[in-house]
Amino acid sequence: MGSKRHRFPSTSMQDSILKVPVLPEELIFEILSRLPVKPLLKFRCVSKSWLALISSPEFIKTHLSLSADNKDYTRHWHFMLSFDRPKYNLKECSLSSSVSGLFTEAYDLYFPLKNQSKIIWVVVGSINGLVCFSDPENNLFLWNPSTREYKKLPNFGTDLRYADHSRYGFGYDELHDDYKVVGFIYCSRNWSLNEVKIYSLKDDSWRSVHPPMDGLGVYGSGKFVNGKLHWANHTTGVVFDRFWNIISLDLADGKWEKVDKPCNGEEGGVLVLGVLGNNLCAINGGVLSKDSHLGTDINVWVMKKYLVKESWTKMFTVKYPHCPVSMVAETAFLIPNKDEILLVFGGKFFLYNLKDESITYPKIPVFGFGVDSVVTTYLGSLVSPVLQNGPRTQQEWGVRKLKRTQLCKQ
Amino acid sequence: MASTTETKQKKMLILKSADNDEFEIEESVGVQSETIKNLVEDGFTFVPLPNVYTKALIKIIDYLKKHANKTDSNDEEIKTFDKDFVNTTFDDLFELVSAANYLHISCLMNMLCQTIADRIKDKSPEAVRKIFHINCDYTPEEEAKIRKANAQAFEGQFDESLD
Repeated sequence: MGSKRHRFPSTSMQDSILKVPVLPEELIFEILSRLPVKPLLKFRCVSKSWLALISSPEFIKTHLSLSADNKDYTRHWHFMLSFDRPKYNLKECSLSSSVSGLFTEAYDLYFPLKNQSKIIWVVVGSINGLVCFSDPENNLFLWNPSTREYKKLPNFGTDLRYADHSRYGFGYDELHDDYKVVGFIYCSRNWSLNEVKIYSLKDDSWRSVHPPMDGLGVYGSGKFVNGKLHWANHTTGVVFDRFWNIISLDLADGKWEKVDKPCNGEEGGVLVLGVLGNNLCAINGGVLSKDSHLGTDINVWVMKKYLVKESWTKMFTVKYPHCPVSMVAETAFLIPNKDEILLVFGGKFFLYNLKDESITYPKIPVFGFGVDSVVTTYLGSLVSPVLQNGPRTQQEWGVRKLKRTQLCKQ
Repeated sequence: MASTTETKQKKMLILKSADNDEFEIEESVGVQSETIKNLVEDGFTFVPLPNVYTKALIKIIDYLKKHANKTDSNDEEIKTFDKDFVNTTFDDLFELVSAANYLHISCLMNMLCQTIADRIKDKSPEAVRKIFHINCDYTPEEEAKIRKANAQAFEGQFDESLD
């Protein structure tokens, strides 16, 4: 207790001056920005000023950065799982903070194309709570699974009848505060690169960009790290060939760059890129083990310092019982606070402990149905795929510019 | 007898609450508050706090004292202290968060805001209105429309309690 000096003794009258404390908007902002998305949607109906606050661009941004930095990942990170029964049912699960199980309860996700016949779709990327996916007809969608908002992107502008082969990447251009999708279109007859286009959500349109010098056969979807999208690129144009490199596209200035790869090619096998924490990682699979009956080796590499070749570190090798060439999944998730990496290959879960380098195979609750695959991970956010240049501006929402105090992280 | 260098006088500050109570604390404890730190840097040793009432100030001085003595070994002790500190009514938490904001004590602000957020997370909008002393300014039609537009957030049971 502070040593209280009774020069001005307080009276019970003065104590009762403490009226009903009504918090200023600035503090409501601070409190609400620490909530997950679901309660925020619910609290939109508390009052008109709460609705305006929760919908304001400043709030959405602050909420996003607090959620991304929050050490309690169970609150804000979600796994999107697909189940083979009933048909292509999608559920979201949060990682469990307990050691006993990997996931907590699963909730149904309202997939925008659920009621359509097109059920084969591919996730292009997931950033800031937005998931980009494509269907077999090269239609692209942006979807926020937490708010259920989605948007179909405009047509590519290129006749795709002659280009049955396309690769995409999805990322965020921080400089222009814009979400961008990059598309590689390959000509089906000779698999030559036909065109590279970039879509801006702000402009809601596609424009052509210079193709990379040797972007002959990019594999998989682009991986977003450090403001750039990265692809594994097979320089001879033949996928599964050992001559590959990594190319990157800076989403702010549109420049291509080559990124040093982790090994010198002697590893062979397939290379897929991934993101681990905030680092680019490379999963190199399909290499036969010394004891071939054990299956194949999957090596996981991480570039610990961006663009520093020497910082590529082989984290670990896991043995996969079957040939994974077509099955090497791209899900690698660094579990914060736990020093564990969750990997998913072909529906099988691996937990790698960074401290004691052990590998465990966690059992996951099946929630009544068999898990088919982990589709993607995403952050719970209010970022809207449709309101970027929407009709409701800041003034119309009536939200004054909030002066935020810099808060330290826990 | 202790040597004179060891008994060097600690610098003290006087904080004055909105209801005119004065508290003497060590400067090193007080400067965890950015507001107090700025005043100390300008040479003040007497700090009037017209927005902080005695009840909240006593608790905040306790907090500052505890956190000024943070070492590697008393981590658990501080965690227990923090847990007890936030175990109070919403109105008290609102008083404290206003004071912490005025005093610019960022770690305390963060803890209080997260505590309030965690405690209202599962509550119904009606309970939240009561807790925050907010009058609903929607017409029933408007409210029904907002609820319909955010239907997924209204699945399941809510906590109607006010504590």
